[in-house]
Amino acid sequence: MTKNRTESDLTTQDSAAWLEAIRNQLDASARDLDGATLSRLNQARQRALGEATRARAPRWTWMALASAASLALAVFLLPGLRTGAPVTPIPVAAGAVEDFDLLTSEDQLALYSDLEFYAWLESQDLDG
Amino acid sequence: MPAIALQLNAQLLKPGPAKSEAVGLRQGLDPFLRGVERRALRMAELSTGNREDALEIVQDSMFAFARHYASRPESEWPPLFHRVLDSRILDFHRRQKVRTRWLSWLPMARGDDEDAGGDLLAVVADGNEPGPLQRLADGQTGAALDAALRALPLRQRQCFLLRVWEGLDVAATAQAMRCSEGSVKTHLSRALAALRMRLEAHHD
Repeated sequence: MTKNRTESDLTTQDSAAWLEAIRNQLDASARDLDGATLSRLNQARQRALGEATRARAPRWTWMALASAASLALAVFLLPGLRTGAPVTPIPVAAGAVEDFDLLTSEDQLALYSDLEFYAWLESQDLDG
Repeated sequence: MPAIALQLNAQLLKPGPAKSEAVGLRQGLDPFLRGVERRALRMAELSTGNREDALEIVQDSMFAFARHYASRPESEWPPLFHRVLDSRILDFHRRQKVRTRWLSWLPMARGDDEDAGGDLLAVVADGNEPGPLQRLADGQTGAALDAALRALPLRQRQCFLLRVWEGLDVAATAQAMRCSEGSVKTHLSRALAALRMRLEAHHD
């Protein structure tokens, strides 16, 4: 019953004309908005459009960032590959092996604990 | 290897499908929002009673719609946009209700609310406004229509505006208002009856 009454309210000629007058009145009120209000609406729309675009951006932005990072690695960490020249091994510092033995030897560690004694002994020799 | 990396990088950085998709989305969304924003503002204004709150509601609605639903098919946009708008309007009324409940404890605030609230005659334009006769008649009709719409219960008003002004069908209106189609028909029937009664003078 409600449905029939509602549908008839919207479709009878009398109601249609009445509703059309209401629509026209509402359209006029929406059409005649002042400039300040229209400006605010425009700003709101631009913000929304920016948000819609931004929401879609991360996927290709992250891919671009990842590829840029890989490019940086390729350029700065592997310079030999850029020119095709053979990779030169990093030269081992002279005496590095001896230094390593010195640092790990137990005898040498005992020597470091008596450094003050040897310094005194050396000064005695110079004085004598 | 760096050459391969450069080519890969160039392919990824040039405007690909995702970026062109975003441009297309913006081109589709702009006219939609442009077409709906004024009516949305008037709907919010009829529900809130003032333009500043209505502008904030429309701004929030457009932003939330763009964030959550812009990727949906364009045919679904109207009911989805009005669903967001309707939700924001309901939130506004809930906040107002809470605010009124708390402020009612304060004597000064109570006095302010009594001045501002509920008096429908306060929003009707002055009938003695100067100007051409036709303009006066139109202004009176518009003010009477505004007053009659504002006097409707929130759900009836939303239903009437979505069905009659926005042109949504029953199913889309039900989706926008998050209610059954039967409720839409009931709300609309009651709204039409109330408006007919209030606008009888202008209708004749």
